[in-house]
Amino acid sequence: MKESVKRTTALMKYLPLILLVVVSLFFGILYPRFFSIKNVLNLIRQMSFLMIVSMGMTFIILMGSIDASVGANATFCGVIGALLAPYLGGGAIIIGILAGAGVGALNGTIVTKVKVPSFLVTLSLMGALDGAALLLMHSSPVNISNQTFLDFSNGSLLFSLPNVDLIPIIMIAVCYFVINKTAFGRSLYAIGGNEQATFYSGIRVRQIQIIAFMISGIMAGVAGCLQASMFEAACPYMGDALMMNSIAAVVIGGTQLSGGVGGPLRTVFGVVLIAIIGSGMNFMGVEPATRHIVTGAIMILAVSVNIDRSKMAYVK
Amino acid sequence: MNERELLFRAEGITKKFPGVRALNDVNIEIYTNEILGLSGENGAGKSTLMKVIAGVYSKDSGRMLLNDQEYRPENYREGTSKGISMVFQEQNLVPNLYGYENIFLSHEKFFIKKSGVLDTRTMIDKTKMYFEQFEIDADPAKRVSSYSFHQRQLVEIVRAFMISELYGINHPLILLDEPTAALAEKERELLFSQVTKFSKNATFCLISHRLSEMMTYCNRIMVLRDGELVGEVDPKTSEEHDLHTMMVGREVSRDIYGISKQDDDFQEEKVMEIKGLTEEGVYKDINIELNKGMILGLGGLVGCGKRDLGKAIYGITEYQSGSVLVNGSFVKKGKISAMVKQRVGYIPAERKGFGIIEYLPVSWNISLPSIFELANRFMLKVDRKREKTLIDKYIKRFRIKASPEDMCYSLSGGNQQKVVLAKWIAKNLDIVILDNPTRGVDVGAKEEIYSLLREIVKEGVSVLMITDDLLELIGLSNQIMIMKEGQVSEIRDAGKASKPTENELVRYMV
Repeated sequence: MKESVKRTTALMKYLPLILLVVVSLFFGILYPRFFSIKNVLNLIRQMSFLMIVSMGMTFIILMGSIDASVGANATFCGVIGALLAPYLGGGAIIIGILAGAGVGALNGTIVTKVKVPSFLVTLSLMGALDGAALLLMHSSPVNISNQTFLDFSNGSLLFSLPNVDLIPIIMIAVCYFVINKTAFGRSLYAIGGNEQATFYSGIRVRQIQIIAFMISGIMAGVAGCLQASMFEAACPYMGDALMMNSIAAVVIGGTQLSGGVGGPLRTVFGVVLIAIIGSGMNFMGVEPATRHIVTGAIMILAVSVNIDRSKMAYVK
Repeated sequence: MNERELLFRAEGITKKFPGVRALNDVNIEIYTNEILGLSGENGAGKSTLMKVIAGVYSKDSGRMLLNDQEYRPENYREGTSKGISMVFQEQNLVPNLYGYENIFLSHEKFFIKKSGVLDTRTMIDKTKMYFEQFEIDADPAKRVSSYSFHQRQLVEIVRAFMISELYGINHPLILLDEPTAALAEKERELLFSQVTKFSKNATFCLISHRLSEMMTYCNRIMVLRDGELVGEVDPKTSEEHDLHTMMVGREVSRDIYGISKQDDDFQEEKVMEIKGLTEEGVYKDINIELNKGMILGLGGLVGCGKRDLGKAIYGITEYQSGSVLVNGSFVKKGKISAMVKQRVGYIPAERKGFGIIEYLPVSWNISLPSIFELANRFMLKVDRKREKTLIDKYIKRFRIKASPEDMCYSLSGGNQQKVVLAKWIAKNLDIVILDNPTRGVDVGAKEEIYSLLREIVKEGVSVLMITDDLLELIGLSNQIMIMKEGQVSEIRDAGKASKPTENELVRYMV
């Protein structure tokens, strides 16, 4: 490979990291309190749900598909958990997560068997799930008082680290392993690169797609229950912002929307970047409405920079 | 032929792509009414040179003269309007537009009526006239996707003539990049008889991997190697072998099919049996027996159903009746994964669409079919060490000129095809179904692929080879089956000493 190509490739590869440093420095210098322990902890807390959902989204986007239902799915699973908490306690969390897996399986089955583009399938399911969640909670928050359920976020399984911080770390580790180390993960890259050629190679493409959507659903379920536990209630539309932000995080991290290029660690950078920008804007006193506009702009920027990367070289 | 008149001249053409110098100081002269051949291995720069001439690529340095006038096309459309058109290797028609719409695409301005709408009537009539002249049996007012592959190819050539006529150019230069790669014998001959006929009013520049074709129809052949012009061959005074040698830059074997290495004592053991396979209107009552270690060639005209048959056997499509047995056990129809489990692999003709994954590295392409076998059962964790050993072994054994990390798209067609072959052989297969294994592959790589095929059958792999290339069919196969209109019309032994001639086989095709 020629020098200039190598250089461009390196730039592409480290762009999210460079951006992260630049943005951090910017806010750090502007607001010395930005990197106070309190704010950093706050930041991590805010990232938690997004991190989990974005990990699931990475599976989907690596295949060149999209899952627009993750936000609504999180809300839906949170409500199920909240409604069942008085009866089942911790079991409610498991049911909530299983509900997420079920939604994912439904997504995957429709995409592969009926052959409807994933964007349309998951967008339709997004609407349906939002509606179902609202019906279940009668349009008002469902409060949770069961201690086991609340411990899901506030308790601490390890080194007095709150679960809400621990769970995303576990999820990153698991997703990293599955995507980078297993035959299943490799198949995701292959499907994203060329679904037909992968199919012709004897890989069970449909099965893998369904499982990937289930993983995305499980992640949404975990995030939804965690959110409900954290807020001590399941609220209408509480997961909605996760959809746009998780897609943005994956793409900003450098995973190709057309599939086949990227990986979970890139998503981690993407999530951190989005969280820092969000928190920074908070410091600057930017209104929530304006923040949405900024997030949208960042996403378009990320996609436009991202678009030709696959043609440069292999970036993981 | 009238005396030679200079039509086009290029001096010192250089074109760089990131990482490679595709053309280096190329000088070329093209005379009127000639059919000039451009020869060279894949990656030698033939297509690039044509694209520079046509205005698709801009050159980095050098200059071009057309009819003694400076010719500096900004884009392809400007090239066509000056009388230089190109028929691209990868077909360049819009499938969901009608025939006539494709012909006049981006030149519709000649057909605008006073009212501002397009005069489609005239467009259709004009197209129809030309179609008749070129003996294209297609309706200009139908979508191009309904045309057959070779009809589409002819349409592109017709377009070149029609567009130059629109611009009042009576002597166009038409660049043909592999126009016959996917055509059957009969259509190839028809095409060349047209080209020869039209060379009275036009000049052609031709790229083809079929050297015999070049030797027969070209007036001169220029040879490119690694982006440089290395010489010129006069077909009247030279042999195909000379051209071949000049292209590769070393002496090449006269026995590229490795007939001397052919082993006709393959084992009696039947590895695949196909019984009465039928799909109404495509193929009917096909019976095939494939022995261990043999190459069974399946030939016939384009559209005779042989390729559909291959796809059905592998499970890409389904069949209505009949059965496929591999190593004695039935395999469910329409299920690729079941076929692969029985250690059957398939190499498709469309390498880019179905064979390789362009934007993944060579290494991952090779290990893909074996990836679940390289992983442990419980966690599916891939054994990287074993994977690497496997990949390195096959890159070396198949002489793939690339490092494992290279993305597949950056490889030449021949090397890409070797990757596709390697990924199956690395899986330790019993049977491999090949669909036109050397389509769009240059001679040097062809020879290597043939010798690899000889090697693997020696190791006991059985090959079912479907091909449009008659010489390949005859040269490689132990036994040949010919299909005609969906049915087997001939089965013939093709042992080392009893190879049939082309004519003997063509009789059963038409």
